[in-house]
Amino acid sequence: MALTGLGLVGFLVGHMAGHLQIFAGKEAYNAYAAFLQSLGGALWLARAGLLGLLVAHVMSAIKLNARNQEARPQAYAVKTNKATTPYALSMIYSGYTILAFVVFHIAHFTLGALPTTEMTESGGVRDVYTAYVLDFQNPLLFALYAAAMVGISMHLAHAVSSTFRTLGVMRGKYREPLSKVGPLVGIATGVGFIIPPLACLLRIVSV
Amino acid sequence: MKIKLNVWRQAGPNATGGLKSYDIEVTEHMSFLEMFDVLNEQLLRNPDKHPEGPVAFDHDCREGICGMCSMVIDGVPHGPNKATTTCQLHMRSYKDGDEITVEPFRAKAFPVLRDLVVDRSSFDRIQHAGGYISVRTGAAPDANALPIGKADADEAFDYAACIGCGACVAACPNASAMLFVGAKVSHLAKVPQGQVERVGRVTRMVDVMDAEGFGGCTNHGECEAACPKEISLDAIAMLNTELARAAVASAK
Amino acid sequence: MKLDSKVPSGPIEERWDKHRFAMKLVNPANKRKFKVLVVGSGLGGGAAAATLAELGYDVHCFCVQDSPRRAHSIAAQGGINAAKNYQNDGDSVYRLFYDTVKGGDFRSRESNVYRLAQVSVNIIDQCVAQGVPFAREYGGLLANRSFGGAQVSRTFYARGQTGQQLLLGAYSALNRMIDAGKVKMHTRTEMLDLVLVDGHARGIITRDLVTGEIKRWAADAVCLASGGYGNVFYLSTNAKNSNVTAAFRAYKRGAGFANPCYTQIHPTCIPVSGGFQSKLTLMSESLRNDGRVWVPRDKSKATADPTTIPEEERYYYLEERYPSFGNLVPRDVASRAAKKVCDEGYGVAKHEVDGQRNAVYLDFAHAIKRDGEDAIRDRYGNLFDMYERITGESPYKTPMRIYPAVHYTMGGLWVDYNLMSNVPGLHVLGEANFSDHGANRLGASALMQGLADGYFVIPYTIGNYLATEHQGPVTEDHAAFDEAEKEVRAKTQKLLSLSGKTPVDEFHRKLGKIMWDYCGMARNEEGLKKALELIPELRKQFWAEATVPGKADELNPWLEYAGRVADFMEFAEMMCRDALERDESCGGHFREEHQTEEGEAVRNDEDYAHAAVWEYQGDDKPPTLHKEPMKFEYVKLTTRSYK
Repeated sequence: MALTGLGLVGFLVGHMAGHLQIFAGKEAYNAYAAFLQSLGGALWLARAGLLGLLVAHVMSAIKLNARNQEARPQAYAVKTNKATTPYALSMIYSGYTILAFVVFHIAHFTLGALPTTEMTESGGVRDVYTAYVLDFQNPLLFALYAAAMVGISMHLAHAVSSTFRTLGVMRGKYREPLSKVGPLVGIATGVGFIIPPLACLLRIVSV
Repeated sequence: MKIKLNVWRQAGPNATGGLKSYDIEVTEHMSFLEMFDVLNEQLLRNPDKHPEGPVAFDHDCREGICGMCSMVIDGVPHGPNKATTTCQLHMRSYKDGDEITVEPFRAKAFPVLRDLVVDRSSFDRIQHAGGYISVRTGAAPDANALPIGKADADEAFDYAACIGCGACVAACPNASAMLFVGAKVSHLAKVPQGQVERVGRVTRMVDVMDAEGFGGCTNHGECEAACPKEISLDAIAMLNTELARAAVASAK
Repeated sequence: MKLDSKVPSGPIEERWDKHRFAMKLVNPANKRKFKVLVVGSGLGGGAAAATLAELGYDVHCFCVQDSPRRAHSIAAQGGINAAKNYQNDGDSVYRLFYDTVKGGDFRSRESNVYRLAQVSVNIIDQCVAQGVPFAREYGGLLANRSFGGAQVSRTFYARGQTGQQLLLGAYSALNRMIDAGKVKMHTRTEMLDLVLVDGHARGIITRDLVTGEIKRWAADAVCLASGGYGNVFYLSTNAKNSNVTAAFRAYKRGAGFANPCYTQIHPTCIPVSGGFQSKLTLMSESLRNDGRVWVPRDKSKATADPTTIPEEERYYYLEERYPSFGNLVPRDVASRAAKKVCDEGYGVAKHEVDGQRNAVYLDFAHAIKRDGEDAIRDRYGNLFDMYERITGESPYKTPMRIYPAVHYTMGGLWVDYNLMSNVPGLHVLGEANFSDHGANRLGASALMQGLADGYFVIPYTIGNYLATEHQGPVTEDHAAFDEAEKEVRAKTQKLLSLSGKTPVDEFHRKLGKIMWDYCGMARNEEGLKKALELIPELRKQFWAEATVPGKADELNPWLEYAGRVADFMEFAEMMCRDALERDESCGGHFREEHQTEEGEAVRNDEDYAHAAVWEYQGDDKPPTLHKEPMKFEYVKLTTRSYK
């Protein structure tokens, strides 16, 4: 869980950095997109790796969840939690939300299979920038993405610190500081991802 | 003061159980288990009114060290007070008119035997699988031949303080035993005597833990909050480190 | 009954060595053919089961708890003595031996005590090798403290839970042997009878406490390590499941019971707070190292806030009466002194019990002022927390209230130097036997004795029995097993047929009150005779009016309990009889007829320097008394003085 999760978080950070380039303007953003496309085989390799990580992560999550359900066949009539958090308790749900979102997101941008803005060419490269900006001017689509980002935030808020414990580094004097890293990464990631679409929605960034 | 108790009643391992309510008069000086003594006396004196008979519950030393008492009290193993076993919980923590729900520890690896009594022998089986240092009686060198730094000795003690009650499992949303196993493994991993068997020990104990049907750890931290001996979650971090170490060592 | 102590001759320092050489050995290849049953899994039983299995014997171990780790040894707080002399303060094997014989008020067997002191050093080595986290100094070496009135620092400790840490050590050794398949562990299993074949102990009958199954176990030797009988008093510091049943059934099969009247009343326990009280909680004796015991000189200030009582109005009775030992006098002396001031009306308990306020203050204000709160927290933090959890008061702010409570029983089944009872093949270890503590046990010596018996004595001596006296194979089909099982089933049925109105608890509580009033901290002829009338009456009531719910073939805690209380009710009579017979004061046994003007105990060595051993004669006949004289060749009989 932890290792695959860590890989996926690494990807997310990179991905977020990419998206933030929307503020650098149309040319830069399209150039970045084109650069990614130009990687060719490497891109597919990365995608395959990513898919592998995701599948492994989801599979072990499903397995772990099933094991944990099985470990307590009879639920308590009254259960009071003293330490855990809503986001820790909802990991499997935020996880499924993210999974659904990932499918949607790939259909949206990678495959272009949704009835959204048609991708055109601009300056010899695909005009990802324009499609992106126009799409997020649609409040419904924005709301959908925003909801998914809340899911990602919650998931990471628990996942990242949890990973540190699983890797054995979060103990002793490192416990307190590292326990704060999770929520920070969660919030930062959610916010980082939602700023570009929000900028589009508010017309701060426009075509 | 008057208390309304909702107690899990289950006639045997395979019987269907359910919560049953009892009204009881207690004083603030009573311990929680003494309240059950009083309740049972009531039930025993009125067999016609209470054909279900007295409530079976586990208890022994009643001073917070044997780890025999269990009970999940209003959803928390050993009740609301920090670092306190059920037997040391006193009724001064409650007030007149309170309603308290008491259930057995619930986990697949801790099957209910009767009422509030569960079978925790899975914990013993984990410890059979390497929870020891292999030293024959009589084979020990002089006790002071092996100095151990106070910091390490103290940390080992913090883990060794575990009383094996199972509250960690009962509290964990996943019924995981990682805190218990972590404490046992960490205690022996922290002292020099435990080094020789360090790799095999953690692997075997975790294998048995998995086979017994405990859940996996997802770092909720409920175990630590419920632990009457305040075993730190660091035990789990340490257990994970030990597992990783063992994986590396056995790959060689 | 023949009481041959089998003590070797020669200088005391050489006896154990000499004996070890004289004992016959069992051929290593034959050991696995011998089955040994160990009843009890505490420090004595757990250590014995593990060690016997290491030697190659086929061991079965039984305990009533759900895990061997819960045996009552776990509750010991203070520490374990050993003559290591790591502090270079003049300790030696001889000094530990001397202190123990003297502390036991000259009623123990010198040779056994000497051996105990000798092997004490091996115990610490063994425990450290097992990973027991004893307290250490900054240099990494083991720390020691002075404990229970000893004038050298020979006590090893693990915060306030030395018992748990030592038991976890023994338990880990046991686990290793269970893992190896050499020990078969039977938890939640209670021994209900001992089976004798041709006069030798050859097996036991048990009840599975979960399924109710009655089972026979034939073996080549039996070790009883079933603990003490303090719960005869109902209120004691013993665990609720501690009981005399296994030892008492052995007694009924012919094993002599020695000195049942020797009970230890621990001076520092949390006082009774009401009629519902189910047990008493001990606060470690180590607290007396820094706490000062006092009561207000003005009786009307019994319920006043103690912190407002000025220094000159405080009666530090231990310091005044025993200037050289002060608050550190031995347990029996401290307990009686507390009783005395409370009887005189100086008690400070919040609640009156029978018109008396039974508690005295144990005050840390001076120590906190001297060493700082942090230092005191470091030493006693967990004990202070425990006190606060139970009483709701913080000892950092106000003195603790304490009162003596029944804690340990020095009496037990009679054993010879080999720890074998007068029934060949029946060995008895730890608190269950009578051997090492005489009439009073010193602090931090119970853990030492349990582990000494289990790790370092029985593994040698049992071999000698098996090699020399053992009678050849016996199976569970033997008629003796039929008869014993029949009796166990009949007794179970008899208990289950009790359908009166009164819960067994009430009879136990009444029995406890009789014992505490007439056979407790102070005893006299009149009271003991009264108890001997009251106990049979109570027993009669029990069998007429008690109620035992449930069935035989299920988990039935009330059936278990009823059986144990029934045994206590018979056993109590023997205790009072022994206390009456011992017409002297010694150690924990204080006969009011025998005291100095200042209230100190007066021994009668002329007539009572012996172990009183009781032999069962039948349910309707009084037991007969046998005596094993106690000879003191090394420690001169003197009056204990702690002034």
